[in-house]
Formats: sequence, C-alpha cells, structure tokens
Amino acid sequence: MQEKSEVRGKLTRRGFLKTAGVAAGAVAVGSGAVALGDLAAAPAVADESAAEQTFHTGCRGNCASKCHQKVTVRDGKVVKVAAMEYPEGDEGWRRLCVKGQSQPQRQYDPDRVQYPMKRVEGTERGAGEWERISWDEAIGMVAEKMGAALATGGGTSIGFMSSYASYGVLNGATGGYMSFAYGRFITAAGCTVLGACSDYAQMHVQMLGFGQNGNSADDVVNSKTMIAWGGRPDEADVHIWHYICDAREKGIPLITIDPQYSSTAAHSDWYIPIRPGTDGAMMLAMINYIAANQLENVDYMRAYTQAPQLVKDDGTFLRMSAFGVEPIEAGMNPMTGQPIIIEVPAVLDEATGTITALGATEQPAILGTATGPDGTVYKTCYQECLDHIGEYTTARASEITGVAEEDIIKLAELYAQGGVWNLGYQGLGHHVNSHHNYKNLALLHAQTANYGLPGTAICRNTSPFTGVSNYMPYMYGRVGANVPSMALPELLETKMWGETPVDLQVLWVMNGNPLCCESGRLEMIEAFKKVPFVVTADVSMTDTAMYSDLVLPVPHVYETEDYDSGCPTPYLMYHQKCVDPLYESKSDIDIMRLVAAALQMDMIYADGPTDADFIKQIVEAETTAPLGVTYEKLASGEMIRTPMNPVSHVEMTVGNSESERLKFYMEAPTPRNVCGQEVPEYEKYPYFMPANEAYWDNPLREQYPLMGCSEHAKYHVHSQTAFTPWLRELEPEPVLKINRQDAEARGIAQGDYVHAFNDHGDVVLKALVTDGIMPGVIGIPHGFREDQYVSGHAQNLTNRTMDPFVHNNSYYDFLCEVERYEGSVN
Amino acid sequence: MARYGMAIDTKRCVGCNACTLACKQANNVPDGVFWSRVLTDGGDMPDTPASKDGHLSMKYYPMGCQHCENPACVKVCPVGATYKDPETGVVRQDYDKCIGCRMCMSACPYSGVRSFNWEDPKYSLGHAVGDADTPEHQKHTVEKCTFCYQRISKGETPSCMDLCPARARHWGDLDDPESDVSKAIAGRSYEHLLEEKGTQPSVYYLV
Repeated sequence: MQEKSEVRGKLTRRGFLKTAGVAAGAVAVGSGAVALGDLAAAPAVADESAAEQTFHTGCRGNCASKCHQKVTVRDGKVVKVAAMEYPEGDEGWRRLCVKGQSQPQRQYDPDRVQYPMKRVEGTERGAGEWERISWDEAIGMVAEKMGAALATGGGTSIGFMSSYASYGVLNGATGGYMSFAYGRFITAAGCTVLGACSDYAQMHVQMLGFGQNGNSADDVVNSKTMIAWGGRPDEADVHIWHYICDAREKGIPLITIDPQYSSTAAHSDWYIPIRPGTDGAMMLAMINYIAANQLENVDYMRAYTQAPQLVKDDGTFLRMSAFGVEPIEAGMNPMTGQPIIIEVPAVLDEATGTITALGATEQPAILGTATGPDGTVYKTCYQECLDHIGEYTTARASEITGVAEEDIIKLAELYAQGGVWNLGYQGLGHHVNSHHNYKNLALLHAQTANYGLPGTAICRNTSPFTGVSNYMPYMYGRVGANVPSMALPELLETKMWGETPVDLQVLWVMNGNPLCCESGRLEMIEAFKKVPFVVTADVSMTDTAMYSDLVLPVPHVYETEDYDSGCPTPYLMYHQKCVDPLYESKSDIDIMRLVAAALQMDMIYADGPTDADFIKQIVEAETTAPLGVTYEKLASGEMIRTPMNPVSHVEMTVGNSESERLKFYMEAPTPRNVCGQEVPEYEKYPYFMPANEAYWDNPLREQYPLMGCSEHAKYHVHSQTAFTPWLRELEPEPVLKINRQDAEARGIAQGDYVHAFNDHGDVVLKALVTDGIMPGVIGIPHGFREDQYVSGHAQNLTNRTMDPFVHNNSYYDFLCEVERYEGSVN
Repeated sequence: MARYGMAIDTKRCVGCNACTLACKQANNVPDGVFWSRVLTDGGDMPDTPASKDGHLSMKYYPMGCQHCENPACVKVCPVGATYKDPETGVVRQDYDKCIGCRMCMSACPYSGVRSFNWEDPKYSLGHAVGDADTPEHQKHTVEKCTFCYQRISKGETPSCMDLCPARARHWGDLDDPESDVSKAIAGRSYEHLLEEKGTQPSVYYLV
C-alpha cells in the first residue's frame, strides 16, 4: 500500500506549496533528497552529458500567440528559452514575451502536482487534505466511478470540463474535446462536454456566425486610422505591436476606446474613455449618423454586403424561388454528402424598379422597400436594420456611453473615410448581451467599406494563418451532450440538457481552471461540491484541483511532444519533448490510454500505440498528406512553413455572391447550445441591450455604485503563471484598480487593502489608486488564484448569468462597492 | 575597439518587460534583483498615468546601467573593481576585486541599476539558468548589467536585444555609423537620463 503520512493533515495551498517547494529543492540538489525521497518521487531525468541541447517547442497556454521557442537543456534541466529564429522576410512574426521567458520557472514551479492525490476520506471537498496514491490506485478509482456511471446513467453521466488552458492534438481540448486523448474517449462513450464560455459572445457571432476576422497585423501600415476598440494589443497581443509602431511612424493615427488607460491608450493620438458595456449603443449611433448624412460607401454596400438583400415579413430573405426561379445545384457538400442547393436572394433593381436576382443588377437598392407582383412589400436588409435602431441617436448614445456627442460624430466621420483598422477583439464581449456588439460593428464596417480590403479590419486576427489540421481522427462516435460549463448548477438540478438526460456522476476537468477563470465562481464551487466524483488533471495545483476528489499530474509542455494546428504565425507548431516528464506526471493521452484499458475500451486507442502514430493521422491523412508535411519533418524540430499560406500576409475577402458578402444580419439565428430556448427576433439584426447588471441606470448602483472591468493582463495566461516567481517579482500580488476620485471618496490611499463586495461574493486585495481607469469603474485582476488574495477571490464578484443565445462569460458585468479593509494582512 | 551603446525608442516601448526577464534569465540574476527594469514615467505606481488638467500621459523607460562615457562609479571605486573596459566601452564590475564598500552605488546617479548581495544570492529554481558562461553571483559584491559581456565577447548581442516585441531596442558600436544603434539615433531626438550629471550615458532614449 501507499505511504500516506507525508502530506496528510490539514494542508492549505500555502502549506502545500511549502511542502512541495522543499521537495523541488531537494530534487535540485540531489544528494540532500534522502529524507524527502518519498515526496520527491521521480526526480527530473538526469541527462548525464553536460553538453547543451536545444529543442524547438512553444508555449501551449492559450494566450493565442503560440510562440515558437528554442529551449536549451543543460545537465538534463531546462535553462533557457529564446524565440526561434524566423527565416528572412518573416522576422516580424518572431515572438516571445515574459510568459514564455518564465516557462522554466513554471515547469520547475513548487506549485506543480507531483503525483496522484486523493482527497482524504471523510474530509470536505476543498478542505485541502490530500493523500498520495499510486497511479494504479488512481486509475482504479476512475475506472470504478466511470464504470458505475456508464452502467447506471450512460455516457452523458460522465462530464469533461475544460477551458482554454492548452492546445495540442494529443492532449488538448479544442472546442471542449477535440484531441486524441479526449475526443476519442468522449465520442466513444457519448460523454457530456462542458465547454468553456469565455469569449463566446465574439466567437458565436463574429467568428463562427459571420465568419469574420481581420487581415494579418502587418497590414496596419496600409490603413488610414487604427482604432483599438475592444482590445489592447500592448498587453493581449504585444507581438503585433511593432507593426502598429511602424504604422504610427508613417503618420497613421491610433485611437483607443477603452474604460482603462492602457499602454495602447498612452501611445494613442486620441483616447476615448467609455463606460463599460455601452460600446454597442455608440456603434448604433454612428451607424445612424452615417446613414442620416449619407456617408455610406454605397458602391461597396451594393456589391459586397447583405445591404440590398430583400427581407420578408418573417425576417428571412426573399429568394427568387418565390417567383418560380429554380434553385441551382452547386456541387456536393463534403460534410453531408448532399447536393448544395442555392436559392438566389432577391434584390430591388434601382434602375428598373423591379425585383431581380442578386447579381443580375449592378445597382441593387440598399435602402427602401420593394413591392412584389402580389403587392407584398419587402424591405432591403439595410433598411430593415436601420428601422430597428432609430432610437440610438448620437445624443442618446452620449448619455449611455458618457462619450461626448461631438466625439461620436467625429469617430463616425473617420469611419466613413475608410481605411479603418480595428485592433480590438474579444473585449467587447464580456457582458451579458454583448454579442450584439459584433453585429453592430459588422454593419458599421459594412457601411464604411472597412472590411475585405487592404488597410481595413473589423478585429485583430490572432491567428491569421492556417495550419495543417484534420479533426476526423478524434471522432469515434458523438458527443453525448454539449453544455456550457457555467450551466453546471442547472444541469445538476434538472439532470437534463434540452431533451437529453444528463445525470452527472463523474466530472473530469482538464486543460483549464474553471474555478479561477470562469465567472460566477462561488456558485460553481457549490455545484462542484454536489458532483459525486470530480477529477482534475493538471500541471499545477489549481483552484479547481483544490475542489476535486482526485488530482492527476500532467507534464509541462516541455516534457511531452504534441502538435498544435493553430497557426498565429506562418509556421507549424510542433512541440518537441525537451526533457522527460517530471515527478510522476503522465500526459493526458497516456492517462486516457490507462483509463480506457481499465474500462476495457482500449480499442479506441489501438491505432495509436505511440504518440507519433496519432500525429501522423493528422498531418499524413488522406486529406492532408498531399500538403507534404510529415511527422518526421515536424519531429526534426525545423521551422516548417505552413503549406496553407505560401505568402506571409493574409487578407479577408468579400465578393458578390451571397456567401461572400459581408454579413451583419442573421436570417436564421441559431443559439450556441440548443437546449429548447426561445430565439428572440432581435437576434437577427444589430441591436443594443444594456448589460445585465453593470449599466449606469441600474437602481442597484445605489447600493453597489462601481462597475466592473478587467483586462487580458500582460503577466498572465489565465491562471497558469499565477505563482511563477519572476512574474510575481514584477507584479507581486493582485490589485484592484480604482479611480483616484472614487478612492478619495472612500478614504482609500495608495497601497491600502480594500474589501470589494456585492451580493455574489467578495474579495480582499490591495488597491491600485490610478487616474488610468474611469471614475465609477473598477478593474479586477485576472489570473491570480485563491491563496493569493487576502480573502475571497476576484471572480467571486462575478456572476453566472449567461445570454441564452451565446452562453458567454460576463467577466465585466457586475456592480460592487469597495471599502477600506481594516483587518490584518499576512 | 568599440564603444557599445544602446538606443531605446520610447515611442515604441509598452513596458512589457520582455527585456527585463531576458536579462534575468541570461544572467541567472538572483531573486529580488533586477539588472534591467522598466520604469513608468507617469503616476506614482508602475503602469499608471500622470494626470494634468484631465490629460493623461504615460511613458516607459527600460533602465539598467547606462554604461557612461564618464562613469561616476569608476572614479570612486577604491580597488578598481569598477572599471571601464577600453575594448568595448562597457562599465564592468570585477566581483573578485569588489570589497563590497558600495561607493559605486552611492556615486551612481541612476538609482537602482546596481544591487548589493548582502547574503548569498537566492534563486527560485534549484538549478542555474541562462548562459553557461555567465559569472557566478557572489555574496558581498555589487553587481549590475554587463551588457551581457559573456555574449558580446563572442560577437553576440546582449540578451535584452535578442527580441524586443516592440522592436524598440537598438544595439551596436556608437563609433560605427553603420551600426544599428547609430542608424537608430541618426535623425531622431533623444534624451540621456540625468544629462546634467555629466555622466554621458551610452544609452539613448529616443523620444
């Protein structure tokens, strides 16, 4: 049996760190490790040769940059990280930041989980009492719980919850399940996927709904105006900042619209502070101003946008089939095997005043109505949209946003001049109801020809290039139920998702730390406590791991090979293994091989006895082999250019056919997760709805006057670098940003500790008194874990309310009050 | 013979600290010590702006040893541990000669670029990181930026120059008009920190 004494007893995370820290030190000095040998488990592999070796790998954490790294190993230890050199002409894509540079510290972090641990029997979940167990025992426990769940509740009674922690075809969880490790198991058993909710406001509408993205960042030099609206490239995407500098050196102005004065704002020619969550109202006012003053680019709207398409009473597009025009067959859909039927949309020919097929006239009307032969009246899509948003005048938007009316007008006029390159991204999507922003932005860019042309962008494109990918080999069957992770409390209550029974018995958390990084944290913790069995597989002892029954150690990216088909730069991201897995960690795919074997499901991994066999199935499949990328080439560690992008520059395109046109209207809006919810009419068109909680006129502001905000912080990739020593030297502890006036009104001085609270929860942390955040707004930190706060957690202030259409996180959508903290701080 | 120097473009710098950690890593700089830091010219805390009549402003100054032409530190060192390397113009610190008197620290007008190891240096990792040939840090010695002497003596660039995300940093021989640093300075306005002290720094802040 396993020894139990070492970590037994009450163990807070601080205590845990202390213990584990000693162990890590012991491993490092080797000879001193005797007394602590049991804890130190399997020491890092000792490469006996003292010579340095370098490897090509990268950051796996999803800040979205996926930096290619040259990692140096000396005496069996990772000692250095540098950016991989890029071939001539592509140097602009070379990248590395503080998070990449400090990866060795994360790898050898005392925070790492070193061996399988189970919650001490009889203690409460989250109490922090752990017992070290063997892998055999851990896998036995999992197999027993999963086996029982499968027998009684079926596949959906096993849930897999992930976030955006890491990617990789072997061990990752793209889309909540897509990897060999998890996709195979989840689809074979028909499990429940509890997918991340972050950023779905943007993703469901702009990215997936409309298929819109930005040109690659090197294109900013072709713009006339750069606008950081809904994002701060200085922190969230510092690797493209130099392109912005090049553009500024050419005299191209930079505008920042943000409640916070970021470094991007500091470098801007014009900074426009705006109340959080109100951007959509300003967009609509700009659209109305542009329409009222006939500043639209009419030719562009006619040729490349949905504007002229006629809309029926029921909100769907009028199609020529209504007038007896036969639909056209246009090839076969490779996914369904069914023929693609095109029913050509109808437009009004301005020259003849008759309804005709899109494409049959060069002068389709974009405004007004058309009357059919039977007297039915149809509106143009643009008219339909304008008719819904009339109340948002520049004056009204000024009241809502706090931005001066003349500034809104000036901004609209700048937009109308074209050449607008928006550097923002998902920052516009962190309130409930914020997904409408992406329809509004789309119409604004459609009016002003700011899409699909050089020097224009609707958003920053975080991954403009296309890797070699193939999702088919992950699929062994189907996902049993697809549930947004924040719906866990309801799921446990109703045991149903839509029409599907989901009696959750086992919850497996991987590639994420939802109890730190998703909103509505306290409600989620309560829900976790109700799940019969929770397993977390992670590199480090996360907040989520703390609330689990079983914690399984997985390796740092430097300790395992993987291939990530995401491609933010023009080179393929293969992770070479640099050193053996530290301690007793096992890769996700190896863990799942063991779990499957214990459940007599090993046939699902039988075609991949080695990891290389699986990676070959991605890059050397029937569909991908012709591209010429082989596993051997990847494994060699060379920089391999993606064959999908022969040129290191990407531009979005627009065209005349219906599918190529810039979209701002949803004819048939479909929710992200279909679960029987109503789809309101307004999902179709540009729209503004105040945030759920954080809106200026909310009567709750009498009690909780301060509005929430946050950012994609420069020292954090979600919670992954929470304890990384060098980063904590730069930023020792979490801080709450508060405007100087608000602080003075509350008697809060620089460096005081403060208590921020609302009806959802509270947190105690240090105040950062600054003029760099709007009065009435506070900024909460991102990426710190529970033990780093004096008490509570920043995410305790947030809530779980999701818009039913997109099921997104609403990190900024809260109100709170802040007071000076009078208690003691250790 | 060379006269190495650096130009840092404040119109590009966003204070990301990539240079700070590149330095820490390459030189295995002990915990709590920074040879290179980024200072915010703005509010009273890092990354906060100054506010004047409702107008906000913020600038960053990455800062390490200024490797002055006329270094105040060299003049006061009683044992010659701090010296200006005639081959490179780098202001160097000989750990073996240093007696820990800290005269150089008080003479240097650029507070914080030097540090003194009161105790044995501590490291968060159990193994040394960075360049294999970086000199070992010693107790009771003063240390500071060396312009990564171990690198430049092999013809490489200092670690902070390897990859500035903003491409704000330029390096080279100030006496060579074709060097990256000379070309960066040419035609641009620049500042020297505390010019009035007469130290003639080799670090140029482009403004």
